[in-house]
Amino acid sequence: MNVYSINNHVLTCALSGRIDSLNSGQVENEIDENRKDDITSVVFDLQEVTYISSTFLRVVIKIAKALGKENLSIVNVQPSIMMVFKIANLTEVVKIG
Amino acid sequence: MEKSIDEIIQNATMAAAEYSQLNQEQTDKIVKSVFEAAFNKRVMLAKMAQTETNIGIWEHKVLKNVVASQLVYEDIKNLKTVGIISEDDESGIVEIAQPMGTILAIIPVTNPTSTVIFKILISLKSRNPIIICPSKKAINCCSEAARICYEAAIAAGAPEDCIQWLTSVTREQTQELMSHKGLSLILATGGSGLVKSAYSSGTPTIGVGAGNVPVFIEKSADVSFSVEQIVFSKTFDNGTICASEQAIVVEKEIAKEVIAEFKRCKAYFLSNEEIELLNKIAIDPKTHLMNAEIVGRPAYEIAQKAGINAPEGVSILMAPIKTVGNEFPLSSEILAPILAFYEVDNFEKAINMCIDLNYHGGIGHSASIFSNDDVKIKYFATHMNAGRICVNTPSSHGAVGGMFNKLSPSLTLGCGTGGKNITTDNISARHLLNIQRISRRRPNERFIRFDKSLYLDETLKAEDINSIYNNNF
Repeated sequence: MNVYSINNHVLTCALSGRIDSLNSGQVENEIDENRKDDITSVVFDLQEVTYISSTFLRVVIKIAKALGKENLSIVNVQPSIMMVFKIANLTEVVKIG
Repeated sequence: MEKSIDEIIQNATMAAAEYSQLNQEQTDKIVKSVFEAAFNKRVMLAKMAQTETNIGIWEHKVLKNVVASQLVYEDIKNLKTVGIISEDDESGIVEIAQPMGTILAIIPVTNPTSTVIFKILISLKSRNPIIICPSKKAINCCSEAARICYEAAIAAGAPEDCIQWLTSVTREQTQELMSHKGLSLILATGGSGLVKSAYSSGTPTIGVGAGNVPVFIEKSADVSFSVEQIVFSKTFDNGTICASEQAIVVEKEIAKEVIAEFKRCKAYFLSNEEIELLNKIAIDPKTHLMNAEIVGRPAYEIAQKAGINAPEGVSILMAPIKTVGNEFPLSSEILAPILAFYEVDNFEKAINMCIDLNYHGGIGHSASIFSNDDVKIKYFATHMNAGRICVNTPSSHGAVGGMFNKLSPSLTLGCGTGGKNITTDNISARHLLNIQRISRRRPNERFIRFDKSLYLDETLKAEDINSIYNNNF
């Protein structure tokens, strides 16, 4: 169950489970629906995420390009997911903590 | 080409990231699905390859596709390629397999669809995304082979863009791809120029070398069997496999019998005048390389082209010559049904002739012997600089492996440092892994108990140190 919350123009997306090629489109739609015009930054909380697809990685790149690197952060990543961001060479593109 | 090189590499990098999360079972499911899809299209792809390239024989290309799919799959299906692949309590070493990353696969015109299938299977088995870069003369059949494999991979849960293929490519784009910092490995199967350029790109490369396979029919051999095997091998796909026989060496004692057997198998022995005619169209006098126009063409057509009156249905053009070198063009590698033929006085001279042939453009590749004398077989093998020494087998099929012996079936044959390669192995999935080793504490007892201050005493020589080091051990 993905939870979206907005606080002080910051959209926090707390995602969970597998974000694979089958459901990453749905996740992208949910993010788009919650990304109102006054949102200045996005935080992905990946504490409960166990798998991410290349499609989701593209969503991350898209948002980073739209908002700027400093306005997108990814938090609470599991080591296995951290490895995925490293292999995808995205740790230069987004802040991961 | 619709996508830029950067986009292609980025897509592959994303695929690599996703692929790294798949377990062995998920990986094996993808590999099985791709094998089945490629195998099911083996005939269509073979016909497409032959029509597009005008090289070889489609029925034989079917067999190449079978080797690349069925036999390669059989060979790799049980291989552990994900996570912990071995644990040894005694040594305290645990091996972990990691993917290498994006692989660029250079595909030759002589074995296009089979090499595509082969490289895709071994890359997917090792969880590496692959970019297919076909020969300009085989773009359509390679694209179709890649597309079939990709659809099957996706259907089995593989990451998007795990297989990409170039539908048009310039030399500059190939260079750009090869030296891209996002690329992890090049699997370079092709001519020496292309392999050299891959090596020069700065990206780790598994390349191949050229062959010039000598075949020694030693006098203990079963002559009739040997000749049949050689003709079967050299006419396979009109001689396009780089491990196909290039020259026959026989001792005088059995030469007549060998010649009679070749003639029985419809080989045509050329006169000196006919050799001159064939020289002109077989090898470029400036580069000393084979003429692309005769590669993979039937013997009769080549004879006609050269103005040689060989009978229709001729299997192989045999050129009896005396020495090896650029002044004897037919002693060089020719991927067509042409064989040099050498008659020598004795065993030692035969070995020397094979060494000459082996070192004339084929260092590190393959050599072949027909013999029933184990001592002579081993003597021959130790004097060849060849990754594969095929014994009593057709060398085309023998070197590729999986059909007549237990070598790993492969369409990329390492030629060792002699061929400017890092390995003499038949390349397979195991070469596409980064192996990590957990090494638990297992102290070297002699080293631990040894008084290390003795190393500081320069008067103690190796013998003195060894005797203390090994005392009571």
